[in-house]
Amino acid sequence: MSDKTEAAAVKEAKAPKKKKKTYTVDELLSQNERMELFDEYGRKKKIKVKVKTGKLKKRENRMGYFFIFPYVIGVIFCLGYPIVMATIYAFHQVNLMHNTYTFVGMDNFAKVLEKNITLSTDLMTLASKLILGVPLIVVFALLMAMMLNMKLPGKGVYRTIFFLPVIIVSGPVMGMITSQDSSIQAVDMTIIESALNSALPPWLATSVLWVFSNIILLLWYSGVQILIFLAALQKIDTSLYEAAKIDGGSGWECFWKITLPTIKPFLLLNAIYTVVAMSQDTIITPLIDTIKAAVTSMYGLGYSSAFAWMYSIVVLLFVGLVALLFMPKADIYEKQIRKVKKLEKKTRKNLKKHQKQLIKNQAKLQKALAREEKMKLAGKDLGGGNYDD
Amino acid sequence: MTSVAATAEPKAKKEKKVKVKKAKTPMTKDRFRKIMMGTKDDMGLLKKILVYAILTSVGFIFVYPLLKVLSTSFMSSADLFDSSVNWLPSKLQGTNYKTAMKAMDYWKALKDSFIISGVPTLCQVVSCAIVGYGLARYNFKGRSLIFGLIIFSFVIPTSLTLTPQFQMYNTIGWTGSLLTFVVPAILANGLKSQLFILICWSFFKQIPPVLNEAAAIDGAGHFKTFFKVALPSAAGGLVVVLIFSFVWYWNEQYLSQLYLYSGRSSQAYQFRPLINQLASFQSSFESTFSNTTGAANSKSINDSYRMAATILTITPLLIIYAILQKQFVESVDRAGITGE
Repeated sequence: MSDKTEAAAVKEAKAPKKKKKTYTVDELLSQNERMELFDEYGRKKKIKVKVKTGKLKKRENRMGYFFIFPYVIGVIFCLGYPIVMATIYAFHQVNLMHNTYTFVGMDNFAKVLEKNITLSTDLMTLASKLILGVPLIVVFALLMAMMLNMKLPGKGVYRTIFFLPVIIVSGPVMGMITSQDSSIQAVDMTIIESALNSALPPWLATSVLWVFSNIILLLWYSGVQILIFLAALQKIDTSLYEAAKIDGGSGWECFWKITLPTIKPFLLLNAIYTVVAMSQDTIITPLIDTIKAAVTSMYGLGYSSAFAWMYSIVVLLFVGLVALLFMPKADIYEKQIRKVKKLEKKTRKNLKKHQKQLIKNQAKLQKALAREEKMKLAGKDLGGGNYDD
Repeated sequence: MTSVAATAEPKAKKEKKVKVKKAKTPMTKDRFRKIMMGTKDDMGLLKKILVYAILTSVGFIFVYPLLKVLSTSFMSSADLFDSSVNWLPSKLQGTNYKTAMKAMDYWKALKDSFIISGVPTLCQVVSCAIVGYGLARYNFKGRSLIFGLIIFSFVIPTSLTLTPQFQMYNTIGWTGSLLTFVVPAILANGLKSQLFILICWSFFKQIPPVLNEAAAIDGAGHFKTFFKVALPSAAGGLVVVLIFSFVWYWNEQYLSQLYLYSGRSSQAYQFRPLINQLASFQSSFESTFSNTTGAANSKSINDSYRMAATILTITPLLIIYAILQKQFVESVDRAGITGE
């Protein structure tokens, strides 16, 4: 009798509140997971909680600030302050003698355009040089790195030679070579020149011509890129190739399906490096010389800052473009994993909420039961007394 | 018995002969193809020859400017105008170097160059190693922000920060002194420091954390761990940074022109690095050889003097590269200078 009433009481107490909650949990969770979370008595199992970094570790990591400290000061001193000042200069007429700044708006920029009539065509030429040169350099560097990475006797000698451009290109030798007309011409230029001039707009034709006539000059610029690719290639696990070979993959397939995907991030790195290096080289673009001359020119700080800003924006745009092109896209599998993880997180959150509610309910239930027991006892006592007597 | 032995011997001989023959005659079409075209495991001979040919020709392209400059530097002025002399000068003229040295004031300039590029390089190696270690070892808040800053400052053209920076040095009064190079280098913001920080970071990241823990258990503090554990195991990376940094400082003509020379009369220059002497080679050559010493000793400038000066400028770099070459190539091999 008492058992039945208890069960009924439990049902009554549980039913109205639990029905809604279980429904949502059922929706979100599989049966198994629910089973995992509660033991057979309906109690909450102890679940592994993600370990937070401890206090000691945190305190230790704070040491990192100490190591970073010089860089932070350096950034303020050598990057933050100059950029802010360059922006201020660009919009002002600066008089250093009296230390006065008068706001002139876009005048400095207008002045730059006015004084440099060829600016837009120069920028276009630079852009087309970059478009043609960057893929050429990157592909060439990759090919060379792959060849240097082969198991060949005497590759040490070749490596020594191939790292030589790092020293030469930044140095005066390049200036000497380009200043006189002794640059090596790989192809007979006259035919190509006439063909290109008739087919293409002038700014594009000049840059295409430039690529043809300076193809060897461009190759000199691939020293650092070869280094980067070589390092990347050496990090690829050789067992991947072995597995592919056992499955009958040819070298060509191995390249497209193992090598290229693995070094994809380095393609991005190299492309950006090439853009940055080429855009700051006086041999590639004469604009750099103009900008540098503007620093000490008579037009003032405003003019040179405005000039530098305009050029920087163009270069940054280009870097952004390259980054967009080469940025690795998340593949479908990764996307799916992310989706599932998100769902899991959501479910766990809901589950926690639900568990709290459940514990509360149980507490309430216990209370209700206890109350009932008391009532019953009281009733029994009363009744018992009555019946006994 | 003897007969048996006699019969056995020729048999053995026969076998030997057969064996020798077997080793000699496997040149079937199939095997020939295998040798030439290669199997899956081994590169074929043809492919090897092709790769060597490509490597050699590209290697030649890479060395070409150096060779060209070198050969021109030994030519006499008659050779320069003789169209039949292309590569090998008819007579090695070592006096070109003597003349160029005199015009460049070589030994003083060499000393200045070593100061101008050596001191900032050392500062930069130390500071970049410290910062790179901090980024690689500790996982503090705001680390990604620092990385963002590093990449941003790498991408942005240097000419943007040049004007205000020059102005700043000018107002502080540092122009003309070494401080303009040393201070940014100490603060890990020198010439291409961002790249060096990334290189150091990628090297320090490869040190297993167990090593640090072991050092900590043995009672080493943060700095002792850095100096005694991290630095020695990343020595290869430091060599790479050292070479790159030294080369780039050595070849930086514009900055030294701007920071050291501007606003001063030519007598007051404290430093005259080689690269700037080379840039002003023409004028200094003329002033040494036509005006002061008179007509008897006067020489007119030509390409071979200029090339000799160029060779003189980069010779120290080549020597340093030759010394450190092994470590350099090895460290690139081992870990790579990648910002992964």
